[in-house]
Amino acid sequence: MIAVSQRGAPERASSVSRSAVRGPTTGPADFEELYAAHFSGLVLQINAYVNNLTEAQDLVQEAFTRAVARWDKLARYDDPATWVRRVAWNLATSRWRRQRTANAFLARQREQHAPGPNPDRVALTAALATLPPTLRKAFVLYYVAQLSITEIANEEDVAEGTVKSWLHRARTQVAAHLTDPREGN
Amino acid sequence: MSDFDLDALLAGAVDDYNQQTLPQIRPVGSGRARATATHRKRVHTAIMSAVALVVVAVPVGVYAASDHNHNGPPVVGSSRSASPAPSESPSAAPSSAPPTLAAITQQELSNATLSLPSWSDGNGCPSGTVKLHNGQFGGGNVPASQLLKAASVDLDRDGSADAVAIFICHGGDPGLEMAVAFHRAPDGSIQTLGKVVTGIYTIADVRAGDAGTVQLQVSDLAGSDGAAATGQVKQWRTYEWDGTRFNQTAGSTSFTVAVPALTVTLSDLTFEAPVNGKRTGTMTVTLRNGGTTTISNASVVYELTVGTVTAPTCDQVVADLPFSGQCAVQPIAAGATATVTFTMIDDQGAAASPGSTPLQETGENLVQIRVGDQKLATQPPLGKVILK
Repeated sequence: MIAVSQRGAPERASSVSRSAVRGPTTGPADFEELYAAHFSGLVLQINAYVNNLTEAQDLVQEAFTRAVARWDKLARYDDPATWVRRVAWNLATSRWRRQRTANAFLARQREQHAPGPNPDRVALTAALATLPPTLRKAFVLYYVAQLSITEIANEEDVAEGTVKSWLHRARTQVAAHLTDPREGN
Repeated sequence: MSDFDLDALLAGAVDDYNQQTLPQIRPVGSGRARATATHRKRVHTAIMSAVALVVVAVPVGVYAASDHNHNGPPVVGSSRSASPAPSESPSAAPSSAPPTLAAITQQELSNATLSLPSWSDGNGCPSGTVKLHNGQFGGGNVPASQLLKAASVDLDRDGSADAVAIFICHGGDPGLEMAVAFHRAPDGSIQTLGKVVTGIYTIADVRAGDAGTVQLQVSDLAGSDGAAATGQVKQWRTYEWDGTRFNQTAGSTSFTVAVPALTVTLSDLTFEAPVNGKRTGTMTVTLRNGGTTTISNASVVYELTVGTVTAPTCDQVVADLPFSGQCAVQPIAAGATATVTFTMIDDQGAAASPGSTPLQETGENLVQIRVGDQKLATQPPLGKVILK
């Protein structure tokens, strides 16, 4: 088995700031600050999981809507962003989104903001789509959300070895998909 | 492929994904989140207030004894339907209209010019004369609206089919809905008979009932709320046209019911220490009947996402939603106690870290007690998730 380091991907320059992806671990002063700091980063995570940018934005917006509804309480948390992230992931992994997707009138009303996905984004999300949900979530939390193995293990309530195993399998499958000539890469 | 090459490949793909996706993200805005939350709270409060009014005005005993003379759900009828203009008011006499008038179809309504009554909540929703195109109307300066469904029914018993249509106005989240009845005038035009009902969160379906009645499937919540898919109460309510307005003649008149004799308590959801990476948890719902008559139609509706429920096996509430169900409770005799014990396996690592966490903070969890097709007005509070 290939050992997965605490930050398995080599460090590399990126135009995507860490705060945009993951955000600070300390709580922002107000809801607007929390929203501004984390909305896009959360959409990146959820979109990588659900492979639908409009739906991902809806899910994250819903998570923030629920957050502001109980902001008096969340504002006292050390890290309300964690609460929002968990809610967004719960929504993404639950059947809630399917139920909502099936809601025809909302679907008919939905504005299409985003242009069609380009081939590169399809390549990654298509590769992720081949993973079982557990592996896909682990991959996204590690590579997109940039959580550590320890943090993922805590969040998923499993041993760190389990997370490493998930990531090993996820890495291998994603890489195979990305390099498969039949996939057009 | 070496580890280094593998990491470089994946990191590159992820970085490209991030850079290419970020510019396409369009945050709706924190203000919209606040507005949606405020709207939901306002609508919920309004519904609860309206339900309370109905309960006060129409006690169960009165409802059972009365014969079509009570008011139905909130905002049944309108000034328009209560006092219809003579030119728009149809004759209720069965013999006054020829029986050969063509039925009003959904397709015809979808491209007709109609006269819509006012909505329960202004919000700028289009009323008065509206022109539908493929079921759509409004837009621009007024909220986009549409016809969702229509059913044929001879409401005025003149021998020709009238129609009841469900409309939605997207003036909020999830929108306002209204059911309106139409009939065919002798000259073939479509005239508005009156508003059947509005002010109910969701009017999901419509169908013809017996003897000139129309039935609407209504719900207390819309599906855009996380727990709504499982927790929403759906009821078929029957309405009848009395010549001047619609009255509810059958079905529940409230989504909630108070059953003081029924005491319900929930235990904490306690997960044992993991065995082979899985925790087994249990939670008990205890229902005690402190009254003098048997409670025969209680049920427990649940949605528990902190694990997989392995027992009991209950009816499905929402298709393709394995985390939820509705468990019928055996009749509870006077003075007796019934228990429903949920056994769960946390096989997805969904539970939080060891310790004690309020259940409502661990995801979309719901335990709702119902009697018949109504939910208890006062629901038992959720306990905690305890991880040993």
